[in-house]
Amino acid sequence: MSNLIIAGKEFKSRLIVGTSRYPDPHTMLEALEASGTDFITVSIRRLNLNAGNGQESIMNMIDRNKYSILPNTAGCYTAKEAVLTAQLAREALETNWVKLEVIGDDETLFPDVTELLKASEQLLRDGFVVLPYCNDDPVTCRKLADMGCAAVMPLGAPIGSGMGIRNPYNIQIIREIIDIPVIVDAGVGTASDAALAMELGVDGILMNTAIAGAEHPVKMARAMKLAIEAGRLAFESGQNSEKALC
Amino acid sequence: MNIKINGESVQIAEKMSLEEFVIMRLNKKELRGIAVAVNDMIVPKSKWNETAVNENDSIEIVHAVQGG
Repeated sequence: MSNLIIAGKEFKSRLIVGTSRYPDPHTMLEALEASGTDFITVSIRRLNLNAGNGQESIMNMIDRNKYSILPNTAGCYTAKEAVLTAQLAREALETNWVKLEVIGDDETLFPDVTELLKASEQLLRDGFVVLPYCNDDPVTCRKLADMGCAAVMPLGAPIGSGMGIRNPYNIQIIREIIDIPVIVDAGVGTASDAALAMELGVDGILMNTAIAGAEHPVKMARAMKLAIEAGRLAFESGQNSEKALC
Repeated sequence: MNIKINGESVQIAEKMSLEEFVIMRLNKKELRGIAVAVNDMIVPKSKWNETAVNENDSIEIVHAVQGG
């Protein structure tokens, strides 16, 4: 099976895993291990200055020799906020990679496309490796690719919904019309969703809730690892064409 | 002098650099893994020493947490 390559960097897994919403840090670490991932996402937040009750920095839990870090701009609603958050992430984590999220709607967490394009342009000019979370819209994806983004990350379904790949045809069109990696980000609920996405030819999947929110996150992490490998292998195998027998 | 730090108003008595302020506020010298913005503009670590904290500055100190 071929490896995932983004902006010239090779990853051993095609699964990118979020670090949020696990029952506890120990379960998170075990799930990351079981998923086989080597690329994980983190968020940037205010340090809690009133000692004792703040969110601990995840960097104290993670072995950076084992995992590449992809900071996100979750919680940003404008290009301006997202650009500043990306710059802060670059400074705090010493990486110029960013999962660019610019949210347009509180409820569904759908991206704000105009702000996303604006932020992408600014960050690319500032030397970032930009991986934008976007709609499953081929035109937006093509614009992001033409601009110089390192990958596009269309949603399969709304963040956290676990509703699977709602529009496989769009995902397939996106895969066909652009040359950079396509990572399905958000919406995958269970192993068959992941396998289906990979069979469509996408290069990888980013997920969080599907693993962290499962009753047994470590088992689900392994299920996703196997599904992604199976789906990719099936895609690379070239499926025997269907034929009706009666 | 009145400034805002992560949304909270605080008073500081004397003029100081951003570096001195951050070290004082975090009560430690190990400053890896954090980043600072003043009035919505990032201030790289290399500039903390030469950046003065001014009246009514809004300072944000951030770090990485679990996220998806």
